[in-house]
Amino acid sequence: MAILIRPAAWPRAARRTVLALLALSASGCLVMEQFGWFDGPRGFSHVIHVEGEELYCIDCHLGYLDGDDPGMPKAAACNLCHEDLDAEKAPEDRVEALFVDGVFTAVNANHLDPEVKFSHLKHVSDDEEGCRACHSDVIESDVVRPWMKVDMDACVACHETESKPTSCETCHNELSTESAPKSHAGNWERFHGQSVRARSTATADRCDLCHEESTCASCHQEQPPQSHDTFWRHKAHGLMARMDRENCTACHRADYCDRCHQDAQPRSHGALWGSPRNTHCYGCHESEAQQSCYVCHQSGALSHALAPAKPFGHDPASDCSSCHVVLPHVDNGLDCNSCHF
Amino acid sequence: MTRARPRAFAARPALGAFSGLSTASAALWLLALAHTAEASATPATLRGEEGVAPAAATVTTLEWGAPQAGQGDAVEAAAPAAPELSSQGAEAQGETLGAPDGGSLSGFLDVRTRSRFAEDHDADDHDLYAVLGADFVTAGAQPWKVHVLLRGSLGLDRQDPDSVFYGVQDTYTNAAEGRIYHLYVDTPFAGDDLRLARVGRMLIFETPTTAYFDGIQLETAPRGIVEFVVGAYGGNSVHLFEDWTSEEWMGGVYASFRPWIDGRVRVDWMHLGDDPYYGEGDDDLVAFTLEHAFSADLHVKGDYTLLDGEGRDFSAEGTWVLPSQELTVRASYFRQLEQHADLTYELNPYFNQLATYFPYDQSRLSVSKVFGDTLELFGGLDLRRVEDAADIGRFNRDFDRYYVTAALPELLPLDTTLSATGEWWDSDQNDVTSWGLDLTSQLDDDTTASLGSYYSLYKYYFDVGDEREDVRTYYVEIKNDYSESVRLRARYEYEDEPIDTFHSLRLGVTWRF
Repeated sequence: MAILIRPAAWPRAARRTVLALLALSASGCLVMEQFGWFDGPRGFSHVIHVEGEELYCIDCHLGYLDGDDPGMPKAAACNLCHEDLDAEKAPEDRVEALFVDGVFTAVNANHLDPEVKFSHLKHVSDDEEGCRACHSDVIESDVVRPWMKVDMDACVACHETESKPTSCETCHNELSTESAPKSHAGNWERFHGQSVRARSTATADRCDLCHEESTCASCHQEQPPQSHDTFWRHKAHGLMARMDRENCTACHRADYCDRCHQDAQPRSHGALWGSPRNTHCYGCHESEAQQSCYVCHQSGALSHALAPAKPFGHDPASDCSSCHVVLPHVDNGLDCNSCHF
Repeated sequence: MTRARPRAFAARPALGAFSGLSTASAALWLLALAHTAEASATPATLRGEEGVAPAAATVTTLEWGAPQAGQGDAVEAAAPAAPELSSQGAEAQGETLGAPDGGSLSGFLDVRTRSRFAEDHDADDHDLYAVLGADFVTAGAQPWKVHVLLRGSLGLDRQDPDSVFYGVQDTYTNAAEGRIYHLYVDTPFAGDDLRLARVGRMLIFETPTTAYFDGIQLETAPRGIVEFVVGAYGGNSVHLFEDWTSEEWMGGVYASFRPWIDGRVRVDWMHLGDDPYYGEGDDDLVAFTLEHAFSADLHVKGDYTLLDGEGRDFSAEGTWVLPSQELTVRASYFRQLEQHADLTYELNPYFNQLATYFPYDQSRLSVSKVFGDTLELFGGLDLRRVEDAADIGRFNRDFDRYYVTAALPELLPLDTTLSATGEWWDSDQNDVTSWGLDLTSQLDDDTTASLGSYYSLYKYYFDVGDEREDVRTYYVEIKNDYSESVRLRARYEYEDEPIDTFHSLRLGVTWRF
């Protein structure tokens, strides 16, 4: 019986094309983000005012040395210069466009969650270098972006350097493991593995802040992957394991497989397995197969013992096909010695 | 493969109703218990997430970094300083609900039922499960800490080996089965010199292979400028699916230190004793690990392992994280240097089913990127190559694997996240393609609903020719936080595959305390 020729796998080129398109899309999004295409409201350019006009922080952020208010500028402060500068500009380019009811509304990076305890006054100094310690990205920016916000990592790093307390209650009113980080929204169940394996020291990836190592086990030992459906249990796990058995070791050890396989018959042992079709023969008489039958049939296949012995003088090195040109056999006798002893 | 003409499937309503009633009863019992508990809860009580034994039981217990020499003037600490973080994770102290003698008790109890029905085979299966995780910490300056993770299951109907629902649970004589995943005690004998003195059933991940045993682990506190740490462990190996025997044991010692700033070296020796079908029954592993952090965001690591004196494997990995860009890139290379056959269970490459595991190398690259609040992207590729082409066979294969997952959190209204995933395995005479879509919506503050579908196409060569089989799964899931401590879950799945069409219903209730 001729072995079927496997048709060419057409999807490989298609898959690579799709992957390339996805990569290009992601790159495009990244580029567009860098160019601010995803930006929201119109921003304020610090670099023009600080480096171009050589203004100091206190020139606009009035009163930040006197109280906890960081002193976001009021329209009146801006109009000290811009009342004349904006006279010829379109309304949307004037400084008034950055304010709504006197409140500065352009993109800024000073929003703190209400449960965070923070005193701006305790952290400021009266020179610009003090501002740069936390806000250097803002000072050098053309548009303030949300990621320029001082994050917890920077706070903790500075506190450690200055030998200040770094315990949670130092800055947080509410300490509840029910308040999951922002990263835990959306499809965190699918993405969290990447963060865990990255083992980044970034606070956002510090799983041990809320979870113990046993947390992983309590979920992973009970919740199987999406792929582990009924067909997986019947057949697919074998197909996948023979490609990448290493993937299985994340959850399963050999005792798990042995437990089930000692009783369960392989799916291959169906109607055609035995006589008269004897598809089991291909387990040995097929070039790429390994001797997996021996896994269960350790005493040897009984039927093979019924094969007639070779005549006297027919040693194992003999070329059987030189005489047995046409063999009444399911294959062409590639390995006669496996049955005829 | 043709299927018999479908006929109306007949379920067993009694068993199905019983399993549903059991879960409902358990839910009512837990709800009553939770209401009673919440009525007497103190305001400072913390609750953990579903299925999580909370690391911190009260407000004032978590602390990162090295212990501070003195408190600053910002906040008055309300409780004694907590111990320094260790590789075992944060330790908890303090008072919570139901704390006996001033200690703390926290954890969860999860009870669920699973009912499955097969249309063509006219079969069904019903099971009950319960998982208990708890952490108990005694009061005092030197507390005892107990951690448990237990699982119990009850098969309401036994399945024969030729049943479509036959599984590992049906290999046991009794319908009821229990497992102890973790049960260990951190003793207060760990003082200034010892960071850890643990007794019981435990898992250690940092060893050359995961150590899962009943025994003892000791680890010293870091000493000196190089933060030298020495540890030892040993006990009876835990093989959850094998009958217990005293001949299976493991033990080892390890040492780590920081030879330079941001670097770390670790050396392990691990002995594994087993009772295999063949072989000598003992394996010795020696592992060397070298790590270096070029910055807080760039970290590299290399490992070299020897098995019984011969080079076993080598691996190298690098991780680059850019928090400001919410970007993570990870690359790794692994090379197995020798063939693996029948080894101790901890190292066994499923030899009894997949035979000898020949040398290979595997390269991996993965990238995850978050684009504001609009898009989360995760993808990567794995490339595996068997070292000697002559070793390529049914159970040793080259493959290329590509995968990508995208989530769009704000694409749809009603606080709905759309996720799509794709995965391709390309191997000689064995290809697998999978696609999935998921819609998860936050219906209100307490309720989450998910709707999705998953498709897999398996193409493989099997003795007499090419086979092509596909599986399509649809599911709907609802989670509801009935109260602060009780979560309800329901999930229905429809699976259409070559063998049959299956329906499964899972109901569960989790009580966090």
